[in-house]
Amino acid sequence: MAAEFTMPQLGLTMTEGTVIQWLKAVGDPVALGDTLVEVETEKVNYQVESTLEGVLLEILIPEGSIAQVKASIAVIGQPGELLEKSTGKPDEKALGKTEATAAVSPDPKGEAGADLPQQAETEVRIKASPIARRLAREENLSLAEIPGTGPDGRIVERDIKRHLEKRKVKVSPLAAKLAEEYQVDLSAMSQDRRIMKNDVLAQVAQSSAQTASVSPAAVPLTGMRKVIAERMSMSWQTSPHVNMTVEVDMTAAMELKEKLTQATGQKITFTDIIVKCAALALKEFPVVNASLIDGKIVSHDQVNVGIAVALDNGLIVPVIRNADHKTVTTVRQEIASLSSKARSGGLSADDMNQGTFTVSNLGMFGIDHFTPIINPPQSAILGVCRIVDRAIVDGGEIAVRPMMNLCLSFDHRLIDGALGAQFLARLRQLLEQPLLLL
Amino acid sequence: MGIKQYGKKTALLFYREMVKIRKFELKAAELFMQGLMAGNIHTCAGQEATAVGACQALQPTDFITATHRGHGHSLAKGAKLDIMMAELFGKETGYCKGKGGSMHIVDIGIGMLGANGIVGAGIPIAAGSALASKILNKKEVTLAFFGDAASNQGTFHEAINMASAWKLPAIFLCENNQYGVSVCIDRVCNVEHIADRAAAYNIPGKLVDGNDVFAVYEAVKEAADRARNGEGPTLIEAKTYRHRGHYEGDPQMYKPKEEIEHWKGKDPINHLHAEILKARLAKKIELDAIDAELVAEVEQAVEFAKKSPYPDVSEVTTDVYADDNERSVAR
Amino acid sequence: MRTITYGKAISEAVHEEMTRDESVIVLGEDVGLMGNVFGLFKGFMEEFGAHRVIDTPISEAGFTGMGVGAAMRGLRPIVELMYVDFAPICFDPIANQAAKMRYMTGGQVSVPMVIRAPGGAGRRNAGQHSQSLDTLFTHIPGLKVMAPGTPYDAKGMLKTAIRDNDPVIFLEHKLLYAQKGEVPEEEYLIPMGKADIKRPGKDVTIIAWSRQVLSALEAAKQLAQQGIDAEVLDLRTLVPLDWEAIEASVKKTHRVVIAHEAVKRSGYGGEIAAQIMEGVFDFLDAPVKRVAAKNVVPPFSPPLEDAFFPGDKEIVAGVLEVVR
Repeated sequence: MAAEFTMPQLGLTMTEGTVIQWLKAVGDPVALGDTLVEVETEKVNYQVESTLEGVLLEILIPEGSIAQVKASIAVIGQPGELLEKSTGKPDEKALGKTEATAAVSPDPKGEAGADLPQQAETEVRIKASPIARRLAREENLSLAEIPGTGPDGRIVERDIKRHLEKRKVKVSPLAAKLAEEYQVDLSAMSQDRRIMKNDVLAQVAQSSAQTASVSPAAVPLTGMRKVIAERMSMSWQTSPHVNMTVEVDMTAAMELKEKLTQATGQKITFTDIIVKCAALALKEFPVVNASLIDGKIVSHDQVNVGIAVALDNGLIVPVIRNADHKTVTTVRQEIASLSSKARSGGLSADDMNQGTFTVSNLGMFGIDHFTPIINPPQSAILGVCRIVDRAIVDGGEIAVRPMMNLCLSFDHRLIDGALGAQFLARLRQLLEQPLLLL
Repeated sequence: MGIKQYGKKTALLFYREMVKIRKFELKAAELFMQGLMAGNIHTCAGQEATAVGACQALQPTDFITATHRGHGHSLAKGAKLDIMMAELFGKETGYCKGKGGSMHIVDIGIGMLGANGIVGAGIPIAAGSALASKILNKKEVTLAFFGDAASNQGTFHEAINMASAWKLPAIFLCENNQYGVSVCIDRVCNVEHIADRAAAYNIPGKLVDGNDVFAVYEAVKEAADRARNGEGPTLIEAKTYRHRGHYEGDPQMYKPKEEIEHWKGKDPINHLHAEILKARLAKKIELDAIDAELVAEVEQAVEFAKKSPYPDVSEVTTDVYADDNERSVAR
Repeated sequence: MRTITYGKAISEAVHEEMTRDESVIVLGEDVGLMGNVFGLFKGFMEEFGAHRVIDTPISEAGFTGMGVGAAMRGLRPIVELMYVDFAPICFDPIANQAAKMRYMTGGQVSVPMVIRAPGGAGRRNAGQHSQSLDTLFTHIPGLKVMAPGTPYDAKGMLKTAIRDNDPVIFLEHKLLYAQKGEVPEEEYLIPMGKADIKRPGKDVTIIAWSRQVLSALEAAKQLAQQGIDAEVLDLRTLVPLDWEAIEASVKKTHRVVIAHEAVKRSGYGGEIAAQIMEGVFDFLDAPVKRVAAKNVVPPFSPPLEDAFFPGDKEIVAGVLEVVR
């Protein structure tokens, strides 16, 4: 049965996208992961991969037009199939046209000769040699995707062969691009199914762990290291960082930790509690949760807290989505799962996408103070230091309390000192008085 | 030689052979007019004496080539009425499996090397056959029938030239029926008698009355002896006339009516009929019986042709080549 | 192996066949006393007799027609036309008599004659003595057509032609008579309708025959220096066509250039190109390219004649076009 391909949500706050270019033509075969359409959102262009398989039966939103997120923009299915539901004009159109376009399916015999003039409106004749056409047919390739190097731009055999060589590794075009960028060796990856974008990103994480042990004298920046270098440079240069520190009395938090551990059977950590408190604080101070993108303040509905996880040769930041809605226990479970995935290289892009705030805990190294660098496009990052018994003055008396420093870095373009201070103060308050979490 | 010296047997044989041709031709013309024959036919009614006289003077093992008007020559040489009729009908039982038609009757078994649709084309072929006889040291002579118009074709001159130069055992017999299709010979030829052209090739040229079967017989006999003796070819001109058009359906507007009547008056069959009776070699009733027999034989031939099947369509692609036919036709 | 000329190869073929079979005769102008204008049959008349090596008058239509009659009587005449350009003079006995006799007689007769004729340009023989008239013959059903390009092929093919029971047009090339090549002493025959890969290759197929085979091989050498590996397929026989060889080659290389010395328009290259399109379309990576003589009358003046017919340069250019 034919299905609708909808405008995907390509960013937390995306509401609509502009179709820049259809990369398939009606009648072209579409495989999972094939780059289907280029969409522009807020000045960022995405190459959207298809999540449906079959033949592109109809294009509902032409190039240059805008569609709302989740609106139907294309119909993909087997030739001759119709859409099951009809929700008004686009689908009716789809139904009506599907019959006509079904006749223009990639039937090599060309029995649909009579219908071809219709198709001519939407398609320019692609020049390809007979053998190129045949190979494309046999391999289910779309000639529209293949550049021709023959005379007059004719697609010739070598062009198909080149394309097939690339595809031999069974990689989606986007994944192929990413692999090139991150210098991932596709042939080293599992070939049991087509390699998609997520797989490459996961491989990126994994391979950085593998390369750490090899350290010749001068090693060029590759993979994750390179990405981190670029991102941290960019962040440092773009966001005016303000660093703010508070001391937190972790007595109550420690008690909470033990009690929760007992009650749930989960090994609750301080990070879990900090994440929860930070999430709530972020809810109260939405500006700290926001992003500054291309001169625009982008507010985020969700509070997605990322946890910096150290790897052998870098770090990775899996994200706890909607952390404000989650219990500490849930946070614990997710952090445990994500960390384990991070270490085994099993993180997916979804695990790492759309973070709005990051928590970086270096307490286990005995750090008392540090200046974390913001993770763009976020606006703030919380550095967590060690918990150490210190002598403090409480009610005029010297007491010994477990004290922990929180080091907040924030982007002064968006967050002023006062606001940042308020946020940090609130965070301390929540940690010192966990009952406020209720 | 007078008819009496030929005797009854020969006279009746000549008569029968000529009537056979006449009945066949008239029947063929009738059937053609009825639309039962495809293509064209060229009948030789009126010219029977030349064909019969000549072929009777040859041995069965001798060869002839003929013209597009070749039914008479073929029958005179020994072709069968039914197989010929079937060929005219385009049936698979014809001499050429129906693939040649009227103008391409061939029967190697009786020495008939072929009627020919190209005017003059049979003359070099006959000369070639004569060359073969000479090279193979065989006694067979080859006689080429051709018309007055063909004697103007280059091939006539080239073939006679070579045959005469090499003393080939050939006989060149021109049936001068005075017309090449519609053109009377005297409008396109500066010699009155084609036989005189022999002088140009330094060979004997004999002029005979083409409607006198015995005259033709004698001339050809003499020429055949010459040829067999290695003395080379002879050019014989037999003056005759075709009663009907060039092709069946030709209204013959180019012939004066009196001329046609005049020559019908010299009908060779009627002439022999009269001669036989005059010499009391046979009674009229015997001649009538021969007529009737031949009418019946021709009828039978027609029945045979009508009942015979057409060749299977697969025959379209057969017989093009002797070796490797299929592959040589396919591409 | 010994090396002899193409002319000698033809001479040997005729000599061997005439020795082997008494029914083989030769007719033509100057074939007897002079032993052929290129000396191919020197001594033959003395050896086989004037009745088997026959000097004819200048009567192409007449003696070609006689060849037909003799062949119908069981001889195997080799009729020589001094130049293939004279074929129009005797086209009737070739096309209407020899070619059709078997079919029109329903299979009763064979015409086992060979008509040999040299053709080709490059000798400055001008318009009426420099043509390649392949297509006149390939177009007539009932004729077989052969066109050897090397001494080895010439000998083996002519022997086969003489033994073949159909009329065979044997197209020689006047500029090849002096070309040398290896020819075994022992007897051999080359089958009718069998092409020959003169140079195997994988990037492009150059289909050629007669003298263009040499041009093609020269072109292949030059192309190799440019990294293009050309396969030279010598058709040898034009009718019947060795389709299997063409098909296999095109399936391998996917690109074809056809080179012939006959004029391009209605040349046999067009027929082959059409068959390739019909038969192996889905293997073609480029249109089939024909390299042929220009559609003009063969000129006399040397630079003009050289510009008229193709050679290795034109073939190289043609290949470069199809490998783009």
